[in-house]
Amino acid sequence: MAPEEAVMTPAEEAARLAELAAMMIQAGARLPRDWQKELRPANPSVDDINEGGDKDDE
Amino acid sequence: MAALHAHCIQSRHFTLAEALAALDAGVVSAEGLLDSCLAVIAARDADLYAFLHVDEVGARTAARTPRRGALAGIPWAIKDTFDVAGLPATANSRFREGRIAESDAALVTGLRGQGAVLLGKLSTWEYGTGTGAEHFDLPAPPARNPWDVSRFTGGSSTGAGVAVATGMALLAFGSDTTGSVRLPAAATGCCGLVMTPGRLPLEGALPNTFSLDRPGPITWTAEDAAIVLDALHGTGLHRAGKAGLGGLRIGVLRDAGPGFPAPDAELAAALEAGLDVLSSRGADIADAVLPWPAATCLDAARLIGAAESAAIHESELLDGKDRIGAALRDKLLAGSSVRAVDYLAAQRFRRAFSEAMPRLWTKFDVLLGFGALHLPPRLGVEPESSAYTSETMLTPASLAGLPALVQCNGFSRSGLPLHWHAMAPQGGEAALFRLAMSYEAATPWRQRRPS
Repeated sequence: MAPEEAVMTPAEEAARLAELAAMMIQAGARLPRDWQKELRPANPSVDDINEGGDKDDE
Repeated sequence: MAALHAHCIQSRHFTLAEALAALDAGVVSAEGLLDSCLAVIAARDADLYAFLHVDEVGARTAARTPRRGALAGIPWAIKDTFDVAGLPATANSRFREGRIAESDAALVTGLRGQGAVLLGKLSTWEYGTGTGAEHFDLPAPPARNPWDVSRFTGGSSTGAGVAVATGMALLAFGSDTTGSVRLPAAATGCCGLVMTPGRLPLEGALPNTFSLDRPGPITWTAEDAAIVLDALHGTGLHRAGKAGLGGLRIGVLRDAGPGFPAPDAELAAALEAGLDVLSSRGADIADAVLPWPAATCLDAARLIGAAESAAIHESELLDGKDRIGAALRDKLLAGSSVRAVDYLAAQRFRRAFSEAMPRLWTKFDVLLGFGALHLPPRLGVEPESSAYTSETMLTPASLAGLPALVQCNGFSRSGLPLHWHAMAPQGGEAALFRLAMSYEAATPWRQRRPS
């Protein structure tokens, strides 16, 4: 059975999408943007920062 | 010494460490320990909904196997986003109803290798993700907080804290993107943590994001967590945790900074009282401030998390409108609408934040503050429920990939568990356990269980 609350008409979905998109844009606007040009983004293709799981606390 | 009957074990509420000692001494058997957990599940889970699937047959078979391994005979359970060969693997989603996993997740393999006895699969928000809101529209009802069944358990590993706090299991594993292990531990009075990324394997788990997911244990005590992690990773955390607090440099984060409200008064008071305990036992304590507010970290984590979730699960959003729950739908809709420039701005912030943290680590071994800023909210009551999940100090450790631990540090006047949250530099788990094990040995909070 479909979860009733989640099923929306196309108009409802468009309105919800607009509302959520606005929230995401607001979140982005709150982030600092004045970076030096050299600051590259974190690499999202790298799953694990410490891929080898080095045990450097021993 | 005569073996204890199940009802005696149940009333005793063994910690994992106590159970191992009792097993070694022959005071209990693995089957007796399992019986006690099954008895608690039978007595309480009809009201608490911690489990999606109990594998009594498999657990009894495992418990009868001769004990071998560091966790031999310990009953445990895992979030239903991890695969276990031959068991349902639904992630509490209509998309996965009827799915039976063909192989074990790597974490399950590791725990089987240490002799732990798997009880079954634990409840979760759909796909182990969400927005913080509870919509009561998933195949299984939401888990209930055993300290007050009208309250939220924390998510997304909703069943994990419930199972451990009540003694249904002595260990639970969940996964944590921006707090999904640590928040349930906070809400239910348990110890929950994430390790340095890469130390525990994610293979065989349904992904939430590409770059933020980490598995993590929930146990009743920090000592229990150290034993489990030593068994899985061999890091010597149990020994390290017994080193005491002398000279441990603790930076205190007393608030989240601009953008979030002040923590609830009882959480703030518990932090101050706990600091007195740590100070009296030799810790060096000074104030600390994060390089950016926790609210900015949340903005970045939301953009990264939602966009990556949508990239992974876009087909469910496009083709499964008749099956998707409202929380997952909203998460994926939000993620689908993230602008590329905002995603990259979040990733640049993440890099800058991660690169700024080492300056704090020259002064401190541990940063100690709050996890959630509120007490566990009423389940499904907005905006309480969403605020509990979003207004936290958990995301800085998520963004920077830091090991972090939540621990109970008292109870509110209404009987709800309080907590604090500690984080350390990558590879610095030992400092977390020095703090947490010393604190729990000096305080009475582990004696109290939800009735």
